Amino acid sequence: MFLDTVNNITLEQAVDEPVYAPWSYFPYTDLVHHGCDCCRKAKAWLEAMDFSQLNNASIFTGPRWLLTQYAWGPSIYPMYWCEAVKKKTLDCGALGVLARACFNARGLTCFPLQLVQQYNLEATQHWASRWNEEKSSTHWLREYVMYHEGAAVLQDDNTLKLWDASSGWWLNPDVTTGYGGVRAVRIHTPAGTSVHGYPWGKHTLRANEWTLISTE
Amino acid sequence: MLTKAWHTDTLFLQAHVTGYEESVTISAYQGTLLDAVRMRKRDLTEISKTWAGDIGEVDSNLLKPLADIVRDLNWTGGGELEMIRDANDQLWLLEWNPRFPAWIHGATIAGHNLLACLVAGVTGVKPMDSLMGVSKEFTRVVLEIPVKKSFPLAPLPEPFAGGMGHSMKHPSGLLAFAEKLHARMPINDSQACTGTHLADLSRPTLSDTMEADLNSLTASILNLPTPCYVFMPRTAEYLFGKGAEAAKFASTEQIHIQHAYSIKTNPDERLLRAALDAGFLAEAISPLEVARAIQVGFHPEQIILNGPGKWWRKENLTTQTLKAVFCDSVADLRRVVEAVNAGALSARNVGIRLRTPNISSRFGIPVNTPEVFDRLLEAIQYLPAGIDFGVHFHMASSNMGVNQWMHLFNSMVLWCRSIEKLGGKSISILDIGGGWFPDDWEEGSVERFQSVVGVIANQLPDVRELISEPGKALAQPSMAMATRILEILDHEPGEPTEVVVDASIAELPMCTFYPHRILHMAADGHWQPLGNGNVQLLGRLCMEHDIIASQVHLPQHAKAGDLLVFCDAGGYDKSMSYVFGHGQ
Repeated sequence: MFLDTVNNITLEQAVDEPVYAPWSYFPYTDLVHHGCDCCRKAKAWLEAMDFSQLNNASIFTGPRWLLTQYAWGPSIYPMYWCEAVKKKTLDCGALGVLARACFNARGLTCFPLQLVQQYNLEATQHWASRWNEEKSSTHWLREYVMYHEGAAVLQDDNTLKLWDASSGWWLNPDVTTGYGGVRAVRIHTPAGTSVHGYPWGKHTLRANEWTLISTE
Repeated sequence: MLTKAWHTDTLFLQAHVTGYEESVTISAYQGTLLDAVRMRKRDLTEISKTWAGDIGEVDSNLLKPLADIVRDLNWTGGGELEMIRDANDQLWLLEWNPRFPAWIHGATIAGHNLLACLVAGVTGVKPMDSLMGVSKEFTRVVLEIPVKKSFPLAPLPEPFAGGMGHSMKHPSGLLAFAEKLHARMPINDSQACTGTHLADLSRPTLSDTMEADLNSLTASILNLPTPCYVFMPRTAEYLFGKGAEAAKFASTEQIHIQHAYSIKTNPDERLLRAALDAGFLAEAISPLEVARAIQVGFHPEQIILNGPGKWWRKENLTTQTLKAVFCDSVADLRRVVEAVNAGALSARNVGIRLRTPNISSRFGIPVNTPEVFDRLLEAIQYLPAGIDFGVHFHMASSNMGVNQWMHLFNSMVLWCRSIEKLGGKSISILDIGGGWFPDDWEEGSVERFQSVVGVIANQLPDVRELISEPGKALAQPSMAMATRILEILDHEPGEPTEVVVDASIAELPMCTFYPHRILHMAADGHWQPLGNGNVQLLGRLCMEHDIIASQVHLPQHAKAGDLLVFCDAGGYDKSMSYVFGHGQ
């Protein structure tokens, strides 16, 4: 989440607009590369660590080890690769980038993933307070929903699995309402990939545009 | 360990007291004790939490001091004093929890609504008494309820890669069921069921060379004082020779496979000579081991020096050029570079040992943080020109399984690629360690080497030499331990179940780490492999844990004085054996 200058944003949200409206044009997170050895070392370390941690399991196994290395919390942007791997705390955007790098290094196709998830006022206010304490942006929060990032992994049958790198689990496509329910999804695919969209559970996620998962 | 687990350095240790658990729970407001109950745990969960209990009045001699403490602390809220009542009716305080316990509704059922008391103390609202005094006993129940749509279940956290996760509870042990089955169909009845005795089915097999070695020993072994180790020359020659052949076969024009015999596995001169004759290198973990290898006939350039304590007794280290030195830490690498630059150490190759990420190990340079990885890459820059660079890793495949080991190998190759690329040093020698169990080594080692060589050729094109250390796989079957039966214990009539022998855990320290093939010398001098049965072989030592084999089938005609041979004792059994119970 790039706009770290936006602080103390109001949590209120308009009722007559789609749930993803505040983030319609919001870019997915990426890390910056210095173009020299410091960042090359960081990426090489991440990829080698991920392969070691895979422990002979399937390459479709989520890189849950990242959460033993980094706690979920506020991050300040822009962030370089060489900084990110040495942090103790990373937000969902940075964790999503690292997870994508791991999946890609394993030879899998993995897309940047943006989400809007439903929570409640207590949760969003708590997170807003925590992010404000760290002088980090709260642009990702509204009263009852939050913007989130992760990694969309393409499986052999051309369906997607959505990895929530901040929680270390695969998102359940059947949970689209209630606390943690996925309300909207956007995946970013390179030009020339499927124009028909990708199945995620019973949903079809269109490439490079928000897909409303539930309107409740 | 406790300090680490509890993240504190102010641990409070208590003596263990045997007894029944009970507690006193209070409700207090601004220093006034409002109500208190005594609860005795009547049913416990697996982790000793209350599942059922009975509620009673608090002893009057406890109430007064309790009220005084509450007053002195100006306590507001709940509290629970957990205690043990011993056989003498004495109460011992375990702890004071500053909150109501989870079973607090049980007190309400018994007529003491401590929560409502507290609310009444604060608000003045009198509690309802609908449940008051229904029963003095309560129990908890498990209840399935529908999940609210607004609070769905969270996704399942994925098990860590390769971990057991949710599947670890399966298959169920069904221990009670297994015991019933066993009672209905004990081992000895299997003969009637299948027509074949279990001891026959489980009887170990021996290689031709082992049989030849044992048969050639039959006469001489009768006069040997026992316990004693027995060298199996044909087996050793065959195994070392076969290992050398496999290395030769799987070597390519680009990559030469070279075995190194790890001296610590068993420094017996006969094994060292077998290694030397088969064209092996020697791997040493101390200058004393280097000296031992040279004494047996290895040239210094056939010796690899390794390990975290390689400078212990450094005055014994040869000044001649060694084959390779692998460093166990960045500091060790700097020390070696300094020694090489100063002319105090000479080696064809200088390398590093990498600690295996994700697999617990105390050896080598850990790369599990980017900071250490950076320091390692920086230190490599200072390696002197003209000395080839190498990488070593070691994790016994016998500890983790061959498939896991292959993944580890591939993962280490990935680390090597990064080190080469970012450290600016080509890797010319790769030492992949050993720790192979003999059976794993025997099965498919040529194919495995070919696969390993293929990966290296593809990923690390500058590697010219691949070192492997199959010491355990070769030494372990090359010696046996001869022992005699001292006594067949006849505590009860029927088949004996306990037999004392003159070997012990001092001579077979690895007896519980892996099964050893056991043979009994029959009256005609033939060796009979022993299968599974009901006999425990007890060592000669007065130590409770000196049991060197269990579930052994001993022939009915076995008697005190008979010879047994424990095969597979030529590795760490021999080198880690110790003097115990010899009176000196």
